[in-house]
Amino acid sequence: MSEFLIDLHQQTFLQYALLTGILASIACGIIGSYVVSRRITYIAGGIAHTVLAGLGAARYCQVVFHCDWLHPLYGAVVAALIAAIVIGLVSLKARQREDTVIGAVWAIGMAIGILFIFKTPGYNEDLMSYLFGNILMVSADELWLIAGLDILVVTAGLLFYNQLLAVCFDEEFARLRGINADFYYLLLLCLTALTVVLLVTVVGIVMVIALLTLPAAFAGQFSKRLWQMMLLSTIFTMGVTSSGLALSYGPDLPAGATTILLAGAVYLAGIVLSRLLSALRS
Amino acid sequence: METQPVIELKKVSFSYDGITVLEDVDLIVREKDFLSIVGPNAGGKTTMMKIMLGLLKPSTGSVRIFGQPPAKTRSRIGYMPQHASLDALFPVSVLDVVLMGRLGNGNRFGLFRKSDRETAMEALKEVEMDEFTKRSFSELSGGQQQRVLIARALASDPDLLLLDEPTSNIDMAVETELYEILKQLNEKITIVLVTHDLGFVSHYVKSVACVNRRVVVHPTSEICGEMIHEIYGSRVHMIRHDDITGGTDTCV
Repeated sequence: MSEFLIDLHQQTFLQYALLTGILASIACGIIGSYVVSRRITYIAGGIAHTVLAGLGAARYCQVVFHCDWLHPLYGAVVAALIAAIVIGLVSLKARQREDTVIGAVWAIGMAIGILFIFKTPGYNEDLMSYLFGNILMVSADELWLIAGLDILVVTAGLLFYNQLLAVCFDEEFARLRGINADFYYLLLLCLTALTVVLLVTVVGIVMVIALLTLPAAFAGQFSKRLWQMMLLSTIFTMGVTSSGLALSYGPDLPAGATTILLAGAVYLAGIVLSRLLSALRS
Repeated sequence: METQPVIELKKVSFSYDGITVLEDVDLIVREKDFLSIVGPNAGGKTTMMKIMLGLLKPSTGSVRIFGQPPAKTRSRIGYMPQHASLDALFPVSVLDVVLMGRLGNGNRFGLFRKSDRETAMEALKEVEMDEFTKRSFSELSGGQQQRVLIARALASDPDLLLLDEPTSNIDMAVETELYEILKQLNEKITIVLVTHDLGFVSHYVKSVACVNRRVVVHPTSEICGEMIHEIYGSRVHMIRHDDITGGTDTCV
């Protein structure tokens, strides 16, 4: 732990890592709360796995066609948005087939990604860092992109708070009040897609869903209103990403997995605590 | 000259997946009417309400609300959906829920003004829930939640109130309170509600539309056990609180 604090002063990669975690936490807390209360975790999972297609394709173009500007994160953003819109339209137009389509998009996205990564010349260590995250590898360029995405997601998530709240709570009623419910539902899925991309840099594709939902689910047990849930869950996420990074640094553990284990532990402790509280009250 | 009807359905039919839910429905609801839509499960009650709201389009026939297509007059309708359709764990306060009734009243980014909050508070007062403003919606009892949902519908400043099963999963005493509130509101606005307990509601409403694919409208005075038997096709116990203050129940 002390090793982490000492190195944090000197090593820019650690500062970038810490900052990435903190920035991603804000979007995660806000959008995660919408996702958990609207119960669309499974959609978020589908979007997360499709990100691999974008990461793989962009990396392939970088190496094979020398498109140096095409950072894998751009690919991730595009893939996530496409997945969000496809799943969103299907869930609006053909609700009974929603789960099938999510499953299909999920698997096809991964398959495309794996093919690109397999065909990219050079070492294939990228795959591991995409799947399980490598927060220590975040560069200055990436940090700017992450900050930009974060500002976008947080601004939209807060600006349309009342509409999104109404659509998540009672879509039909919102529609009757003249709110374009389909638009806001798709907006929510797109914001979820961007948040997923942010979180992929922190914990990797496979564990995104845990970071998106565990803090929000924890916060939900102690919140009476959605914004309280967002605030609490943002603080929670900042806490676990920062301490996950700090705890994993000394013993050289994977930061992503450490973060998720911490989040899981706090979530379980939260359930026990809220049970105890309600037992005491009654 | 007669005033323009609030709701006018002409020869409305609706089918879903080839099954006819409503057939040849004619219905006129006039200003300050208090209409109850009754009928067996899957008889088309909710479908009829959704057609009035413009959420469903009839296969044939025409729908006019305040003389216009429903989509154009939605802002004048206050709607309360079936309670079961809402997520019981959603983190939202009572005031948050009622404020949703103020959405779409010209506030672009959905930021509520002071006047929106005042209207919401007034609506809560009408249903006697103004002391619960800051409480979590999910902590409330079934009857309290129903009242908050009525307040949300009222917050839209409606000229027409549509309620879908407002008394499902609440007990008799609370139900009486709820109908007393509705009766008062009816002095100002037209109310249409869907319910399955015809006998009880007949004490409060002015007319009853019996829906079982087809629709027959009766003034309340005509309601009797035989008629219920006819609609439901089986023997139904009819409970009527003839003397509410005394609390005696008369079973017919």
